[in-house]
Amino acid sequence: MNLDFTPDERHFRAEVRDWLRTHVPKETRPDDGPEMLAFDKAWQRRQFEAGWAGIAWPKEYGGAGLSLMQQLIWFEEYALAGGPYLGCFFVALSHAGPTLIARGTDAQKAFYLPKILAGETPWCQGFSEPGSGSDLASLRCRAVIEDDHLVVNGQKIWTSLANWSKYQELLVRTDPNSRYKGITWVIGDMELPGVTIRPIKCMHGAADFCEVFYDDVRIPLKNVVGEVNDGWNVAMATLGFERGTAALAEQIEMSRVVEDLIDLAHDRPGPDGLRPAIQDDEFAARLATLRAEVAALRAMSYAAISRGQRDLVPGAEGTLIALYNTETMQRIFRTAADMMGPEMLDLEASPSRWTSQYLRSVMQTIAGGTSEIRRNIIGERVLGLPRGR
Amino acid sequence: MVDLLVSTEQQQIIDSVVDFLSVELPLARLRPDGNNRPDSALWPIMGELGWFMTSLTEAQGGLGLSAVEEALLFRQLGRHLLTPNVLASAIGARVAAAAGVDELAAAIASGQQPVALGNAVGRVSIGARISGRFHLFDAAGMPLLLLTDGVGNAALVATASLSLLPRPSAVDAMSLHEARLDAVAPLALAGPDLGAHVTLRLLAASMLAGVCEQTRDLATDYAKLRVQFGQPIGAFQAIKHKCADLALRADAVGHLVNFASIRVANRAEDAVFQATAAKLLGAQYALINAKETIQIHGGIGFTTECDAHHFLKRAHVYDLIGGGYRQQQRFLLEEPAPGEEPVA
Repeated sequence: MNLDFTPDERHFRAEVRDWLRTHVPKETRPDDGPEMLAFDKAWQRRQFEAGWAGIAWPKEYGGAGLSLMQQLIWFEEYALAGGPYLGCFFVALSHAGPTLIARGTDAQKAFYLPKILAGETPWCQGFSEPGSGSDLASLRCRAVIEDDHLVVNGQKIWTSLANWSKYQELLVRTDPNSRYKGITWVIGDMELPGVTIRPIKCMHGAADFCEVFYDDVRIPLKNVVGEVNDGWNVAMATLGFERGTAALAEQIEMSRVVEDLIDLAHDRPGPDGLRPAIQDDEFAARLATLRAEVAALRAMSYAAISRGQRDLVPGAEGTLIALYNTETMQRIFRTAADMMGPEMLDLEASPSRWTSQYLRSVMQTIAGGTSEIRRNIIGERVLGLPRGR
Repeated sequence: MVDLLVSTEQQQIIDSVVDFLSVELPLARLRPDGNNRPDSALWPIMGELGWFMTSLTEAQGGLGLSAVEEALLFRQLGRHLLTPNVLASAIGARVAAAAGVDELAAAIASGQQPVALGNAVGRVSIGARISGRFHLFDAAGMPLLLLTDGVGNAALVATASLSLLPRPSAVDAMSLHEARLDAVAPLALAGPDLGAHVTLRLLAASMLAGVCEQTRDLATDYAKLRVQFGQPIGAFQAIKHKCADLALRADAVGHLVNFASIRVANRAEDAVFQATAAKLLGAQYALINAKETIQIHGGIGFTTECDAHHFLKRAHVYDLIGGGYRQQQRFLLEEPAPGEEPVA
């Protein structure tokens, strides 16, 4: 066991640190509206021009082709430099692009990948439906083949950033008689006739996601990724991809919030209104445990990357990390909200960002797989417990 | 190169320790009808296996292994719920060596002079004269006593020079004595430079990580076997999710201990931070894991016919040595946050 970075990796860190600290946008990322889209596109474009777009993508597809350890360093430095959330390009870079690289045709790769890297085309993920949340394989959004097109009718929901996306990774039901083998993965253009997008306002105030309706939407068959009815396998092939190194940036951000809270607890009066919050036993206990939990998250990520370096088949460690990440994040922001006292009710109070982040953190244990489903996966795939009837 | 997984050589060390423990110190020894030999009888064998000399240099008669391998060893000792005195011997050898009492160091490391742990109860004073109230575990037949405080002072004293008051122990197969010291002179004394408190936190954290792992395995095995309502209880989400949480806590603490052990071995700036974080998290998680393991076992889990209760009781012992998790939380808040990684 070792925690020493190689001289090459240290050089790489110096280069990345220097570039990120110079080029990360100084202004805060707008959290909604066309300004947000423009911000995300401009930041992606800036990384692209400097050769940092698609850090995990192979070089032959225009990515930066970084090793796992270089990705770890990149995300650590990205967070330390205050780099913004990938936002409108998260799905494109961490899921849609890798799926096309793994399963797309040459023509699909040549057309779609460069537009992602250059910051032109945000993607969204059309998986969930009103009747198919955790039970994704029950999805019913119907597609029938007519000549050389799929004709899609149905609905998707909880589609993050659908209203700002150009393309969608769309899962449709092409065989109603087969569960897993009746699903097709197709590239949907959000501007096609028959697509209706309705943003849904979320509990923290922003419209983070949308419902999307499909009314005789005609998608060329050449947009199918993999084979018709093989979409479940295509979707699963890269589902683990998003759970690797990207969580590191979040963890560093979390560690920064914990350190900010500890600093604040020395300055701000605690619940008795007299002594600093750090003198309050419960705040001290929670802050110390959060510090330790964030340290444990880092160690878990380093171990996952160590597995990757040894070319071991990824196990369920991504699920363990995702579960711990999201639940720790909720505990952090709950502590932040508690420390604000009555001022947490005032969105403009300083430090105001914590109330919205606290409210938004409630979503963390639902989006991208609920904690309950993650516990099922850990119970069954890690511990070998039987499935229930 | 960064690598947080055990190497082939380290795995061999772990395997040989597990082989020894499952034969000589199975959990069954703790049962009411268990054949529980006094620990001191095993000390020379443990010494021969090198358990108390992993961190002594080869010149000092040690194996020249680092805190990393030592922590891996202690994780297995925790899985088998060994007496906390194994910590006292491993640290006691260091204290004697640091104080320049080489013969004593060698006698401790070889297991010929077993060391019991004296755990501070309330405020104590450790220096050229030692005063305060201490709890002693399994002290019978142990000629030496290791005493530590929270800030890194550590001393060895002769057990025979103290009057020990037997106390009714809450922990099965572990005796408890109380000793009140008033200006007792130590045989050997080491200050904070040695970092005895950091080693103690790391190795206790590792034993607690072992408790987290063993409870995960015990509870999961039972959840696969026990049938109610026509299916193994582990098929019910209520139980499955508890088991998943046991696994998550074991995973989190296990990797954190590995991370901390490397930082301690390298005497890195954040060594105290990481070791303290590992101990406070290890204690909280081991205590929950042990309690939930009893719950998953249901009625039998609350009886002495099941091993689950030993994990809860001994998790409390491992937590309390060197200061319980509430104290460790205060210690951790006094540490600076880990700094940025250096660049070339």
